[in-house]
Amino acid sequence: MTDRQKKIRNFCIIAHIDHGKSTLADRLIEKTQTVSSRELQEQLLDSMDLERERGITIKLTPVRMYYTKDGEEYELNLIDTPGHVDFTFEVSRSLRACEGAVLVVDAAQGVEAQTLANVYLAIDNNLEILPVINKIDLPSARPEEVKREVEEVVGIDASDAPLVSAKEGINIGEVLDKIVDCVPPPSGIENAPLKCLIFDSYYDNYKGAVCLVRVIDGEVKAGMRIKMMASGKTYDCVEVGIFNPKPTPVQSLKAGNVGYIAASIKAIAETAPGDTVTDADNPTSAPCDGYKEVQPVVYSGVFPADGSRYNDLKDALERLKLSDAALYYEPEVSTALGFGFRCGFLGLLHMEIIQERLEREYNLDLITTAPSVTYHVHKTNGEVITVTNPCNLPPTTETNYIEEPVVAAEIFTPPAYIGSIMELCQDKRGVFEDMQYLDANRVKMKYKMPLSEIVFDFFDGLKSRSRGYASLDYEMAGYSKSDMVKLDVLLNGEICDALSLIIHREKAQARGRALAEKLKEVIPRQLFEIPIQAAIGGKVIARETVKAMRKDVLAKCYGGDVTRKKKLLEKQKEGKKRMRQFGSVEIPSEAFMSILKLDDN
Amino acid sequence: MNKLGVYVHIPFCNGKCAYCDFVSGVYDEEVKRKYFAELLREIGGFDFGGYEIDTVYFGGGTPSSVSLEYISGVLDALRSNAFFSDEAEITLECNPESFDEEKAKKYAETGINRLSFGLQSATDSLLKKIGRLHDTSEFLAALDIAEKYFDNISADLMLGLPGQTKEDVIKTIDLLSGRKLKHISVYALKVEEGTPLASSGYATDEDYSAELYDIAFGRLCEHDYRRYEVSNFAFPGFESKHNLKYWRRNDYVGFGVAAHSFVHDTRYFNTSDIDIYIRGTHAVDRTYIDPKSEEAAEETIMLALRTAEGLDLGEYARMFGRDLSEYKRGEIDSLAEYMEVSDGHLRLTEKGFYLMNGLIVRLLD
Repeated sequence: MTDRQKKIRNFCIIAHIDHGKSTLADRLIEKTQTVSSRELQEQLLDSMDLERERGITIKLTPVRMYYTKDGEEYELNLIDTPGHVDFTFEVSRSLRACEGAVLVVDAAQGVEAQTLANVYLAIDNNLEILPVINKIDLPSARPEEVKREVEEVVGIDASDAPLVSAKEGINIGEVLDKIVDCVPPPSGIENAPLKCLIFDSYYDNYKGAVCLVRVIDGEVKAGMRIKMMASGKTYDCVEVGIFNPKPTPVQSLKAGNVGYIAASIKAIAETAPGDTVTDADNPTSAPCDGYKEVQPVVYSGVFPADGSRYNDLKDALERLKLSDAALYYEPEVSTALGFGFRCGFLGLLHMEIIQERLEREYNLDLITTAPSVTYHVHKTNGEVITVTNPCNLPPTTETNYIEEPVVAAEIFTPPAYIGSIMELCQDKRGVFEDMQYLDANRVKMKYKMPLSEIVFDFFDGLKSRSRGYASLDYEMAGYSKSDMVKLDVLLNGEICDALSLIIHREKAQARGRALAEKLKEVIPRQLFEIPIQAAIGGKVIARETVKAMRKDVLAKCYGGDVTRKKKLLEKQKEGKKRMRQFGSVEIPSEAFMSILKLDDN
Repeated sequence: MNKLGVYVHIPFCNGKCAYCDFVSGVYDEEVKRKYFAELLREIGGFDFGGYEIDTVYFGGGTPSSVSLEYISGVLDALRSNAFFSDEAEITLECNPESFDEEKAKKYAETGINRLSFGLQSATDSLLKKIGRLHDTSEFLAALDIAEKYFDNISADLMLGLPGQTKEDVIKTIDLLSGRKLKHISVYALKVEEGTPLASSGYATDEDYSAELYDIAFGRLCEHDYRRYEVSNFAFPGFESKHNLKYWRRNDYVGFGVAAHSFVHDTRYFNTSDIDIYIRGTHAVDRTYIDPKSEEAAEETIMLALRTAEGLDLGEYARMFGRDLSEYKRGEIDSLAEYMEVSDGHLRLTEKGFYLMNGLIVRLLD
């Protein structure tokens, strides 16, 4: 290890949502004067508007800071980690680039389930864990108790954990000292062949695909020929740099450094996070250990509202995929919605974020179909198939039984809402497992619950029943046999594929009715009557009718005012573009969206 | 010489009706004086070169509510500025409460040969509800006078008024046809934003309006009226020549506040602010429409299909270089219930007439 390496510390921060991770990160940046306080926007690292609005972290952003301790200047690289359950995968990627993790625990709330999951990930990756007790300024803070909790629950020594308030800027220096003292410097051989780990990447309009890397061995600088080991493709490295916190070019990145590599990489799929970058002329013998492959949990059809924008959607997904390895998509054709994609997501939040980014950053209007989970269908011929799209569900005659994914859900709530939340969980086919009073004001309820029920409108129900106080954590907990059926919607006698659902038999009747009623509201009247039917396996369980339109005329066309009529027709023409032709029925794009949130009651 | 229709907007009323969102209102005499002075200036500034006026239409507002001199002044100005056909159809809109024998006589003397009464309904309680200033007996009295001087009289009927019954529609039509009125306009009420009717929370029931229209249509046919446009019915030969110009894309010029014009392939309309108009600013928006353009073709379709004669396919092909019945064969065939091609014209069927917007959109690209 070189003297240079001895003064590098690579670390990340792990925290439960709301425990103050981003605020602490901001304080560290401020304390090391990486940016002047004038420049310091609140929560600097959350660079996407979406992230700042929601107060969550999606993209990983590394920041280099300099901190002087005992007369020595240290280079501290902070690699941010997302805090939501959907992004465990991204967390694991950023952990691989670090030697230490600062574990932020709320002095009032104590250790929470999500914190634990990430701590275990960090321990698995051999990271040094530095507990920090945050929010000691709160009147309800109980730092000593929480320290004990950390020791008992996490099993690490927390006796000298810094007690800080990121919000008030109390004891931030202590955290920096701890990082220098306790996080091991990066090992790695500076004069070995280049070996870099890509832990994230993003697309820059001028630089192309930019890789965020941790240099394991060797050195990378502009002008080098580099090679992606997975794809085997080579590039000329155009620029290397660090984030302080804005991208800033530097001469070179050496073993132990964290930064970025820009190499005019145009093709989107060529910078897969998890890949290893090496010197094309002097490659390293073995790539970094491959990352764990992630499986999407929730699937949904994504179609452009204006069918002619299929290619724009395709480009946008390709670009998002560049920086989001967890996004999965494949082309899908629907008779009702035309050409689009079947997308797989890590969870509901991930799905929402991708949809929102597509709409905001790529200016697309989308139609998405009801989210579906992954079912295991055991066929009568002994074959077991995985179904993520209701249209692919085999006929009941060929089906022996179906298994659906189940989650272990933990709901935290003030005691006042226990009753109504239990009701909700029961309604969602939840199986009660345990309930614990954490203190006088907080209860933890544990349920086993089908994922498909959580996917359908559970959060909204939870929030409305608890006036926004309850929160939910869940993790996958295997599969269980379940009486699932396919619910179809027939418009004018034909099954509209984009509206089909896989649903538990007990729920099908009510949902079918609600669907038909809602569709009646949102499908405009047309020249002829349109019967809307909901059916399970060919048996109609609900029926509504959109009556034929009788009047569609601008009778007043007064004093030669033709412009008024022209405007009306222009509007109708525009509206027609947003209509999906399904047989002879015209369905507005909004209709598909309006049924995603339906109250079964 | 090209024929030209002239529309003159008189934005003055003795009261504002509950449903009205036209540019009109109650103003004092000083405003009227300034307005007509500006109106004459606008007429004087228009280039009538190459045109012969063959229709004039005084609309409003309530043209009969202003002094006769203003009306005759406008006609004098038109006559002195342009070729004026001896056969010209000259229509004036009037309301019963502002109509009297002296006016009728003088209107006839100035050359006005067609009157259009804003009756709306023959049920007094309905008239009161929508803020009309007349009742049925006043209308009948006005009609008695009008008939002495005019042969060609029209009346308006509205459908979908709050509380309007089928019986009201039938009663009104029977009353008008009993008096052998030559022309009847039947308009569906549209509740416009910002009107007292809208603030009252009233919304028309489209199905019920359609039902009333069916009833009106049937009754009018029984009485030998012929529908020549979706809202206009007349005894043969008494169709409003002026109105037909709109649907046939003939030239017309509008004078006065908020008036619309289509001359020399250009559509424009005047400011709808009466103060701005009086200060001498007229047209606010001009759009030239190339007579061979897609826009012209679309206008031709949407306007012609409002009429009973329909779209002349031969004429359309000559103008736009394509046979619409071939070009849109698929649509026309699939909409056979609603439109048909016969003797070289594309027409909406009885069933299609009241659904025309959606049908027209199907014929556009």
